[in-house]
Amino acid sequence: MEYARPATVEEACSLLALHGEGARVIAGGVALSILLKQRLVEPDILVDIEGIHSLRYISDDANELRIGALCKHREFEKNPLVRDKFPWLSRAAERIGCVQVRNAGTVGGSLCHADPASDLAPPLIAAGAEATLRNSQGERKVLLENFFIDYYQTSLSEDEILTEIRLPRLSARTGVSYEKYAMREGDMATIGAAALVTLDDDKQRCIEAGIVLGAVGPTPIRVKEAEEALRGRAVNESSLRKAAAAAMEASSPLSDSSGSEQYKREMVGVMTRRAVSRALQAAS
Amino acid sequence: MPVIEESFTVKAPVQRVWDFLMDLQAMGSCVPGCEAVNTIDEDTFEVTLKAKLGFITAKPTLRITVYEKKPPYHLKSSARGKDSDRASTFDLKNSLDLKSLSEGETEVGFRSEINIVGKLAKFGFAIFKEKFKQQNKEFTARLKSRLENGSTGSA
Amino acid sequence: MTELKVVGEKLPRVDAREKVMGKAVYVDDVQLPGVLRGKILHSPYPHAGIAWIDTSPAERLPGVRAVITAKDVPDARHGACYLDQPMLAREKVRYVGDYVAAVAADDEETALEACNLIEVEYEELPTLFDPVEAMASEAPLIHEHLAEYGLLQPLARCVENSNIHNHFQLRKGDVEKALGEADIVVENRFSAPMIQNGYLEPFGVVADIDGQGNLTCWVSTQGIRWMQRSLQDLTGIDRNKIRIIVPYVGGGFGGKGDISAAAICTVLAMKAGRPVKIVFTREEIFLSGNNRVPVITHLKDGVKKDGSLLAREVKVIMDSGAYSGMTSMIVTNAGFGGSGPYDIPNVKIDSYGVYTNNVPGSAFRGFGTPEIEWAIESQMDIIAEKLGMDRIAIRLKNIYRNGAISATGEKLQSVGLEETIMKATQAAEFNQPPLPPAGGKGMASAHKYSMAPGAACAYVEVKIDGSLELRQAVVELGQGSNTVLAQMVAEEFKVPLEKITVALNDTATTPFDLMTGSSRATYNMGNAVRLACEDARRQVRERGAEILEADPDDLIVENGMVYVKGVPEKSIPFRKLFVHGGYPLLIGSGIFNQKSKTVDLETGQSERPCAFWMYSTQCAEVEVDEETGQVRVVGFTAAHDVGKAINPDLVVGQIVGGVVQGQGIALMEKVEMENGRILNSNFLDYKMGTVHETPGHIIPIIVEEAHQEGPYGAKGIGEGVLAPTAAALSNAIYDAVGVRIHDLPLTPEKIYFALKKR
Repeated sequence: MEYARPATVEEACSLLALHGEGARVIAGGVALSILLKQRLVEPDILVDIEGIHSLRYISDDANELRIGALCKHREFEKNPLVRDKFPWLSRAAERIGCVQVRNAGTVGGSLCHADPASDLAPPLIAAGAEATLRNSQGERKVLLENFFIDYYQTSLSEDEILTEIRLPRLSARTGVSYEKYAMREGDMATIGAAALVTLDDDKQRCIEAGIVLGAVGPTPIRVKEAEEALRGRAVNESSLRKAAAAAMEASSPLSDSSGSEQYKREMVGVMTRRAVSRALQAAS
Repeated sequence: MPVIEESFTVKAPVQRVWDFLMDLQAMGSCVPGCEAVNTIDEDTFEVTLKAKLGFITAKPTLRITVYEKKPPYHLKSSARGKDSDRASTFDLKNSLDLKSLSEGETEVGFRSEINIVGKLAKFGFAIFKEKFKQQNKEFTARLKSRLENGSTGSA
Repeated sequence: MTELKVVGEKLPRVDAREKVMGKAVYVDDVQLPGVLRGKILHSPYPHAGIAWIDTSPAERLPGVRAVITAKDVPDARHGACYLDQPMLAREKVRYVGDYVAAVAADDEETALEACNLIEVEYEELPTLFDPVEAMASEAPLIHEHLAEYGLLQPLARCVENSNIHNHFQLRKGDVEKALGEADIVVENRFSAPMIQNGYLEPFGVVADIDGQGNLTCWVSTQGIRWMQRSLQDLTGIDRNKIRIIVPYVGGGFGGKGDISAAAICTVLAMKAGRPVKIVFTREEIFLSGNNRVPVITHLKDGVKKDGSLLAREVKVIMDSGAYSGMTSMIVTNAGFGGSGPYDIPNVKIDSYGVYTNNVPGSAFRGFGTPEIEWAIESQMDIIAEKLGMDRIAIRLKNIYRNGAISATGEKLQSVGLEETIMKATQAAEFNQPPLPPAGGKGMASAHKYSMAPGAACAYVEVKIDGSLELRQAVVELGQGSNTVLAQMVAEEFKVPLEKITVALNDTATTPFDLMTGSSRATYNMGNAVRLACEDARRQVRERGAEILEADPDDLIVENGMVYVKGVPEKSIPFRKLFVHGGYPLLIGSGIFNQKSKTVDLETGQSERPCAFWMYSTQCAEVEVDEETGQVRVVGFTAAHDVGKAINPDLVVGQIVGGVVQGQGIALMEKVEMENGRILNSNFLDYKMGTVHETPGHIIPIIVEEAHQEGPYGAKGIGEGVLAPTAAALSNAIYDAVGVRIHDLPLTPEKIYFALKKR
């Protein structure tokens, strides 16, 4: 196996274009090093992009938060800007693994690995985040919601890398929350549920809603039916119940050592309710 | 071990469905990721499959042995083989049952017990099972389209 | 007894510095020139005949130096009780993971690749995964020649032509009659699953054979002499040519030391003519069959209205998987205490060890006791509730006290159980209401034996500079044995701890010890060390008497000096014993051989079935999330009767470590197996408690009910800590939300669905 450490995005992209399927991008290596050790992935060349320092930033441009793909989870969690203006995102980042993992792992790496149990994807999707993908020819933007295709598969082509995540500034009276269920703190999510709620001027009715589940299907799942149960309505016990029921219906969890399909589906309901309730609190 | 059970109906008479399924090349063309089929003898053949699951690519070569056959209704086979890097072993027990619902309609039922040993088994059975289900859906769709549109290889 | 100066002190561990600095040497640190890496090929089938094996494709791979299968090794087997396990599967494989072939190659990659190239043709055989089915008379046999296997433990009795490799029975009084006379009869079934020992350091072995055919084997094991003996049996090398060196071991919990792998490593080294190293991956540790044996416990108790236990009937089934490992011994030893720490006039115990095609289970911290105590202490709370009795009161009504006659007929001494109950419940404020809305408190008491018979030997050498070297073979696994034993030497010679060195474990220099297990080190080796010190002091006095021209009996040995009693100003340092004494060899030796009394195989009766008993009581406080079933442990109190704490800090370390481990075991640990195949053989999928799940606060309490025969009154601690933990937590969960779980672990899912049914 060869190893390359490009210093620029251009250099990285041309390496990817050259080696095609045989190349794997590595950043923090949290997920990939396990797969390499288990020999589940045996690339011809490992393209280590951690040296591309230009992809490590967090900035607040007029109407959006811009996160460089190589930001460490820990930076993201501790960043004053994120903590201040996107506290829900900082809290979601806090739930990723342990401090050591958060010091190693990158935001972009986590998203590109596309484990459906990622803690960042559900809240970012709920808040309408967009991903910037680049190759030698140029760049394109894709809604994060459409970025994930299947288990561990994204819409990145072989010669592309994810360079940036852009998060639009949320409108007033908007709350976002991410709830995670795992048997142990620091585990991958068994259930992830993110909710976004925007209330109307007199804080009576929900005018915008976003519900996204993690870890209960091949990709993060946006539950439109759950959103509809909230949008345009007063958020009360009845609409909460409907949203939770819709989320349960939309989920397709698998039985494994973290729990049976049946239990996980029940927990989707509980986590969705909690996420919506917390988002509502934050919005009010 | 994952067990896949699937049944569906095809608008074709039972004999035609059977003949189609017994035609290796025709059948192989319906199997997603099927790269090659070779006949060893009447009841033994070898298939090479390629399956991608996220970052994993598996390319097993399986030797399939038919050990019970009651045309045109019932067939049992076993399949064994290794992945191209030899670090994973696949072991399948399959049964196929056709039931004539009417002259032009057949129910196809199949069941596979899939046993994966070695490297790929580390990956988590639940996800594999999910992937097998997806592949089966695709297989079913292709099979139906081939049989119902009449564009079968040999029938 | 004179005043103690070193024993009983909270002194820092003697190995602390080198461990903190990363300088402590473990097996994987052993580097020999030209060393090859060995890898084992595992069976993919739970039960299958081996038709043929073709190793030639592996042999042709460049870099491969040796490939072996069963045909390359003597037809011999090993085991702790039954000699039932070959180092490499011969006619058939019995579990998914059974060792089939092995390779030594220039590096690990090549060895692994070569393993994948070995062709094996298997012929599948009928399988058994349920121990109850495996016990049935018509079940297919996993070991056809069980009755012909060599037997190392006379207490084990197999049932011929069955999969039952040991059936232990205990009979006291008349249980049938007493159950008829009881006011209530309470019957329940509980289970504890297979769990993994989960030590940090993976098992490792390095084998090197010199020009004279002597084998030196560096190996991480808890049973040095057992390893030596087994290597002789398996490889045919004479025992006097086998030298075993055990450097520091990074945890064992009863599961350290893969004999087959050590033998494979040795044979690979013989065949390749070069040293070979095998270090397991985490996955291989799960497959090596040193997991905790899963246990099913049936209890049927007859109780009077006043809460006194009239009768207890216990049936225990242990699924040892493909080989009996230590399970046959666990069946017997756990059977001795299988009715719990209670004075019950009528007891009937039947415990069984059963073969299945599961991955083997064997010893784990507690040797069967925590699994049975989990059942008994859950049952005690169930009984208390049925009678409307206080949970502390029902225990106090029935517990063993000094002088009680145990279920086996032993007159008990050093029973500190009542004190553990009183101190734990007081410290835990057990009678104060728990936190609302879903808080709860639970308690559990337990006893744990330490095995007998068993010998321990020690040498203590007096050095010219006034220091002392202890040579003994208890393995320092992290439990602190080197520190505790060094403290005893320091105490006996009245010198500071710094003057003591503890030699590396090496069969060439360190004498016999049965094994590092059963919480036996402090008591057994402690006694041997004291005897060795006494012998060394005698030699010092005799030599000093010549120089001082005094009667040896009038001499005092203290602080590196010898002097005549009452005349300390005329003292001479140890150096003079050498310089003016003709450079004598001052080595004291001590042999302590704890005997047991004959056990009646029909009734399990014995006046001394074991060395000593440890007693404990733990209280847990939990909060349950009723929407998810998740449990948070708020607080934990653990009181343990250790006889005498040689080093209270180390006892506290054992208690706190055990509580953290025990809590993970109770709440989440389980080796998931499907048709004999482990699904979670890594620390991502196999859940153990982490620092996040550690209780908010743990209160350790040391109770010292001195044992007459223990060194300074000491007994032990290691295994006793786990015994009550699971039941204390389960009882707290019941107290919180009224849900009783019968099968460990107490997962949120089980609690959630039980809450729904409530």
